Amino acid sequence: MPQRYRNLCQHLAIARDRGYSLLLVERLHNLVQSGHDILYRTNSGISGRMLNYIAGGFAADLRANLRWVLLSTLLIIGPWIIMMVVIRLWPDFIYVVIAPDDIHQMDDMYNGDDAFDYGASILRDSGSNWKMFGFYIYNNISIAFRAFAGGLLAGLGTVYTLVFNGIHMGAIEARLVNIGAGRNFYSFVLGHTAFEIGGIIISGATGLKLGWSLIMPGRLSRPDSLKTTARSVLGLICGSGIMLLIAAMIEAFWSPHNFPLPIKIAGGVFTLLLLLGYFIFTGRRHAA
Amino acid sequence: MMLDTVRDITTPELIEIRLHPAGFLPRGFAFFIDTILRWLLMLLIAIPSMFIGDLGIGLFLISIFLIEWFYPVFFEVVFKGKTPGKRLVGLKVLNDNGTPISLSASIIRNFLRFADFFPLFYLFGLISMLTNKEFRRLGDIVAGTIVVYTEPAARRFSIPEAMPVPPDFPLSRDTQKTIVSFAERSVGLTKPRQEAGTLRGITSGGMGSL
Repeated sequence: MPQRYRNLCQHLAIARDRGYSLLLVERLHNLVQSGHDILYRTNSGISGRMLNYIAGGFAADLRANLRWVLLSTLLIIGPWIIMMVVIRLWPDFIYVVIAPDDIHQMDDMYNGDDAFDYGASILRDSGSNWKMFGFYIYNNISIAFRAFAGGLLAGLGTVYTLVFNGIHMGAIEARLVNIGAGRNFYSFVLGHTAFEIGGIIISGATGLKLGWSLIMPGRLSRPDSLKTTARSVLGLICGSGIMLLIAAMIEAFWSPHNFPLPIKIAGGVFTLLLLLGYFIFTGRRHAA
Repeated sequence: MMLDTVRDITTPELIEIRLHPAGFLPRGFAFFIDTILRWLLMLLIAIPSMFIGDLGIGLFLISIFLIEWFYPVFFEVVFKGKTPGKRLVGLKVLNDNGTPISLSASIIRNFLRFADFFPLFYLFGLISMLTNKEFRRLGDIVAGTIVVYTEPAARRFSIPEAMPVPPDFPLSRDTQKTIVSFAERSVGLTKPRQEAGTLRGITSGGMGSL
């Protein structure tokens, strides 16, 4: 094939040079074009590359972009902590941040039963678990992808997503602790927190990096700088998507169960350690 | 000739390939078709999943997620840059060096659709297309992709029968091309325009400046 393609190119060059008939030149041109398409199709080995990436490339990538990850963490944790403190001190401040209807719905969800009653607090039947699984995937992963795309708006879209989610989560957490539903709340969220917040932080980091490469392209032209950056963070985005997928699984099928609180806490700590261990120890050889 | 939006790409074999970037309207039209197809697809999944309760809702939400984010990626990568809408309109996506679109480029350009949509109804994307001479939206610029017309298969010329009259001066290739394409169109033109065209084609062809 390459041999014949080269031949074809030569024919086209000669035909053009000698001014042969248009019909011929056009036909050769089309042949060359389709040959070019076949020859230069970016080839895959895609499953192998993906495995390699999961086996450590992701962690190495993350460490290489550590400062963006830290900045992203700051942008989500900062508002979170501020909200926690503010709403613990002035409980009514919640009504400034979240619509009253949503608050009542939240209250009902976590406070339907006595906080110490393991019998029947927030257990759902299994069909309902699937429904929530779908919802978490649709909602959370879309947020993550949008956080990346928001980077193209000079990073503002990303910053908004991060800060908004930080405020929202901090406010809800504080509110539920205020009304005494803390136990139910933590029992529900601890299991998937590490993967979910981790995923959002990482996708936020990609958006921030993209935004920064638009603002400060350095020695490249802006389109080139954006191009390089987008390529470099693509793995992180897909990785964060996968993390959120795992988070959705945990959230749908593990979090609603009524195991005793210590077990739920242990589960949360376990996933956190798993994740940290992965990011710290794997992919040392990938780093370059 | 210079008025055309044409992008010449030199392949590693030092042969030039000519691409014709597609503008806002055909692309918008292709996107419209794709949107309708996506909705039909969702409807198709929604109807059976309504009958299996909460599990169905869950599956439906997952498929909405997949369709929303991965429908274009899937078609662009598997079907050589053509989503069904683009195929109908006659467009395809390529990397901007003329090679078939890669998975990563496709993911980037489609994930960034959200930024093109901002603030409403693809306003940023539209501005970007109108200010860019290759009609690229923001996602295209970042992903390094370009949407072009698919080349129609080489067709035989259908020139009206006439006595060949060899010109008494050599015609350049561009001139030849102009004359041939004029001859092809001439059937559909009015009489006065045919004559005017004939005159202009020959005379300025002689100057070699068409």
